[in-house]
Amino acid sequence: MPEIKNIYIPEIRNIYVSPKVDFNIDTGVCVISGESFLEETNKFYEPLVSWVREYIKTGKSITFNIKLTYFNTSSSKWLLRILYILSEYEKQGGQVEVNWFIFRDDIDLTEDIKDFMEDVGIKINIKYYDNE
Amino acid sequence: MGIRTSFDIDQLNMLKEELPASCEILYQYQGIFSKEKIKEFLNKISENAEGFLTAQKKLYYVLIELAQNVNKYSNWRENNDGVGSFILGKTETNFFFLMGNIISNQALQVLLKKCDIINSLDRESLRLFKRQQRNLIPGTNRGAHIGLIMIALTTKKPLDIRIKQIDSDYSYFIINVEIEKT
Repeated sequence: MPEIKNIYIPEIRNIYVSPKVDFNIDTGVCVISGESFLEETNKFYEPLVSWVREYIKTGKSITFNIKLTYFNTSSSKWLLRILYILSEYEKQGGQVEVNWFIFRDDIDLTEDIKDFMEDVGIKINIKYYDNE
Repeated sequence: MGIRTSFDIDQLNMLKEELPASCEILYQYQGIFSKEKIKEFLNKISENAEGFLTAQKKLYYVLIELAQNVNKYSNWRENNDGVGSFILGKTETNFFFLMGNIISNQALQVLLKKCDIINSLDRESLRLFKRQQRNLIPGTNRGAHIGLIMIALTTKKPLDIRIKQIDSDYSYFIINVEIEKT
């Protein structure tokens, strides 16, 4: 099994915006935050998907926190892929917690998270920023 | 081969023919939809929709999806970027923008079929359609489909498409997006 390392990518707000990524191998806490309006999402998200695949081979618990306020449809396809991997891990006995942080009045995103849950078959805890 | 290299129609004038009644134009542009220019469009939304957080967010979201489509798929290209046109404006109750680009009549037929399907669906069916499309492997379905579904879901309105035929090969494709000032 290849050794995996923590991933830390700062948010880049240039012309397109890439999110901040903080995946920690020691704590199992993974955070994607900010905005995700990338042009070539595969270059950005493929390493993240690979990281999650490798991490779950350790058998340790994983907490996946999504704090994205904006993301384009292309990014949403990659989030879906990560959630499918986590769902599969949970079915195999892995301990998985997924939290999606949103603003209370974001009705569109609330609806979208429900659709993600239904597709993937994983519980996503909706957490509101004003309750933090 | 279907790629135009010079501007020979006034796209902005064609967009202006589609303006809603009693509106104020806040920003207009015709030219290359470079990344820098798309960023400028977003800044214009932020400036002009300040205080209308929901509208600002929806406009921002829809604009990026559409402007990226113009950049990638407009048949009229300069230095690998698509050329299009854009008007941001407001009425008493809404913010709106019109975005247009040249499209081959062949591609237009495919696009219009997609729009017709999206516009025939109620919200629950649209959500289901979105889920089907999102479940396709990333990068495999080329262009303007899930983005259009998301636009219909975000605006909570049917896609408002206007077509102006230029010649037997090309048309000018316009989408009108209206978002209530909230």
